[in-house]
Amino acid sequence: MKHYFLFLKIRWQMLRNILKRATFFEFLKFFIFTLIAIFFFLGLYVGFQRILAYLQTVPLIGKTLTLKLLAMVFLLFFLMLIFSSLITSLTTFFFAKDLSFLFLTPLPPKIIFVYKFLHTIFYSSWMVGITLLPLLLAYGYVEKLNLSFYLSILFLSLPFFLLASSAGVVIALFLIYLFPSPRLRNIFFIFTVFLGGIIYLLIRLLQPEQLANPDKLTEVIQYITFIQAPTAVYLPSWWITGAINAYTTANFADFRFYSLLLFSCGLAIFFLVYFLAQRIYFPAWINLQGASHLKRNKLQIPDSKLQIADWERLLNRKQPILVKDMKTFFRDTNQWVQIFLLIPLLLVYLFNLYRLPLDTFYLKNLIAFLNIGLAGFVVSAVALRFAFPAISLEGQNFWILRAAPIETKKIIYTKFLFAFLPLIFFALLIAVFSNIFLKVENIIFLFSTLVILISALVLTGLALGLGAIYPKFKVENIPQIETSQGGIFYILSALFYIGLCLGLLAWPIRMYFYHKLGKINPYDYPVIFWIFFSFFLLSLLTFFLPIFWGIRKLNNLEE
Amino acid sequence: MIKTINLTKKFGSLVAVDNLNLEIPGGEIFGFLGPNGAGKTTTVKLLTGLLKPDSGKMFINGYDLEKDILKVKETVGLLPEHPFLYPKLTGKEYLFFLVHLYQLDLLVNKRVLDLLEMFRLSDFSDELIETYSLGMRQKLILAGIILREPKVLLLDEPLVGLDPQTAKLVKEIFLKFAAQGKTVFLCTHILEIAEKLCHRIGIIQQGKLIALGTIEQLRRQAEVDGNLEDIFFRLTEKDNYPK
Repeated sequence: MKHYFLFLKIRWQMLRNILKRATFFEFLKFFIFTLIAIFFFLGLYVGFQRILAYLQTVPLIGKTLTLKLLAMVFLLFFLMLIFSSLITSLTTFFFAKDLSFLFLTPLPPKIIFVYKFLHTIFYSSWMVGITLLPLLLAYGYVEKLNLSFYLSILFLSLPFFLLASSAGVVIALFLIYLFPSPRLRNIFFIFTVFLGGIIYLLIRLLQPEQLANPDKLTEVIQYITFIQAPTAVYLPSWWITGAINAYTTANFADFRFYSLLLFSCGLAIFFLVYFLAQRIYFPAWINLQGASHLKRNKLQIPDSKLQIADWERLLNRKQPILVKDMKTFFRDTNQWVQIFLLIPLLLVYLFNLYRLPLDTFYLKNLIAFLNIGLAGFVVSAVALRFAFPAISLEGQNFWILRAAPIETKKIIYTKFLFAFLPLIFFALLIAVFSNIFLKVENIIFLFSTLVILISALVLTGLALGLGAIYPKFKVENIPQIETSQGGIFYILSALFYIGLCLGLLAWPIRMYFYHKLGKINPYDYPVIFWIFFSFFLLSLLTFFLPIFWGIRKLNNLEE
Repeated sequence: MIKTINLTKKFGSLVAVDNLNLEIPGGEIFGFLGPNGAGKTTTVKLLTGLLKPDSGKMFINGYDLEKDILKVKETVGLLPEHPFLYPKLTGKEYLFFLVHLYQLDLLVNKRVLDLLEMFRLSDFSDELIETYSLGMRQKLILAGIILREPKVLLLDEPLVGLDPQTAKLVKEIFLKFAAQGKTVFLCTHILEIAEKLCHRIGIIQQGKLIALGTIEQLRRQAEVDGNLEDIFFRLTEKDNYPK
């Protein structure tokens, strides 16, 4: 037991050291993210409360619907927990940096295993646990339950999380034991993000807004009546739902039954995992160490490498940094995997526009104009992910470029080229398809497309420039770069730029609307001239100034 | 050739390099020694333009670092203290990247393969650098430097992590470079190597150059009749700290 206290003490010391050394900005960041999280959970609470309160009012099947909803949510969370635990345990049990140290100590592997197991349960469950909280609070409020309900559920959630996490751990142990490949983690990571994107897309394409349509309610009720049967009775998600239902209906015999089921199975799976771990954990870890020394990453580059195509040779010769960045980008999963989320987001965005009930000239063109702002926001978020970290991603290898006889502006120019081409393609997709779906007039089509393209260009420059002014060379992952001081400053600057552009360009658009509404002489040409002049000047300054300062910062870098 | 005149670099109140005056001609292997935190790495970074001095001048092959930094970078080969390399490139790709980055003659392509062979990296040349050991990374950087045939070599602990065969090979290469009239600036903690290899040695402590000369000259200065280790300990003893 003393070992676990020692591990806990070390964790506490690390946390204390972080807190002691935290800067004002880090506290501010923590505060802002906590505030955002609180708003998010408040939103969830209100949403759940309204749904549950509504379900209570549905005659006859209100209770069944509530139970069904709870069962579905718990089933979803149970599956999410297994997956989350699987991904987490691949890291904690096999790829964590402290493992080599721990296995060198005289600690028996079973102690290391239990320590890592507790670690996995915590890291894979805390987010799901917090997300469950608004649902349970809303349920308790709607059902008018007292404090003992929350305490009972808190108590029952322990075996629930234990069961789900154990399932993930067992799968991870067997996978690494049978296929000891360091690439397994990457494959699961890609698969998870891809699955997340697909689920998001499917949920949107199901058009849940139709549930609010009274014409569809009969079908929904028919469907729910059809699936009145319990959901996955052999899974802990149903047992915890059953326990909640039993508590609410004061059926304490059932409550006892489900609670015992949860705890006995929880205990049984813990011992099963413990037993399994003693047999296979250490051998699996050892196998993996061996596998990492195999020629696992050998790329099949044939001897004909020296006989590459002329265009490739020319590109290598003219843009060696660009070629290097492209290779690095495609080989580093962390750099491109978000594209799997980005594509569904883009499709949902366009689908939302497509489904908007717009039938008047005014509405269509007003939305087309506002779409410039939304597209600008989407492009700035994408630039935050793909352009802002460009310099920081050079990391500690930046000495190679800095020691080479190459000017900093050439490095920035290459990074710009690499980020700008996909971003402009992305912006063009948004601009063209959103205007097609909105069926706007040709002049508005051209105008908004042009403005979106200019914004994309400016936002790429702004992201790259600020990324160079606030580089983070010693980070472990890309989100640390995005949420750094510079990243937050960039996103605020980008929003400010988009807001200013919209404010300026609203004037000529208003004149155009007046013209379409039949007003005589609606155009004030000097004003139009000054507006476009200001827009271009603002864009030029937003583009060039950060790049100029970024180059200066890199030239005077002291790292 | 390397020349520094009153070179000074401060980090806040800490004077990392204090009025450093050096003149190292071509054809010389110069050993730069000092305890941890003495200012060796800072000096190397200053000489490659990775850091900017607070005052003083630096010349490499006659080029003023302040004015002709790109010319200097063309002629300098740097081996940094920590051999960070692009983990997602293969060893061979890294060397080809250097060929294009430094706009070297494409005829050196053949030399890339020869160097990989010479440093016994051929079997790993198509593997990602992230799988390389510290010594292999060190060898790859050295191969990249030799590929470019720079006139000045700035080496920060070049023999750390190398196997005995490669260490021997590298020492021979340094001697060959010096014989060709090139300058080798070697920072190291391995005093035996400095003693065997270097024509002259400079000892830096708390940013100040406290000794400079051949082993014989240092021996006289330290009033010690022993090897470089004895000289080094005598000169860097607390009582001898520069005031």
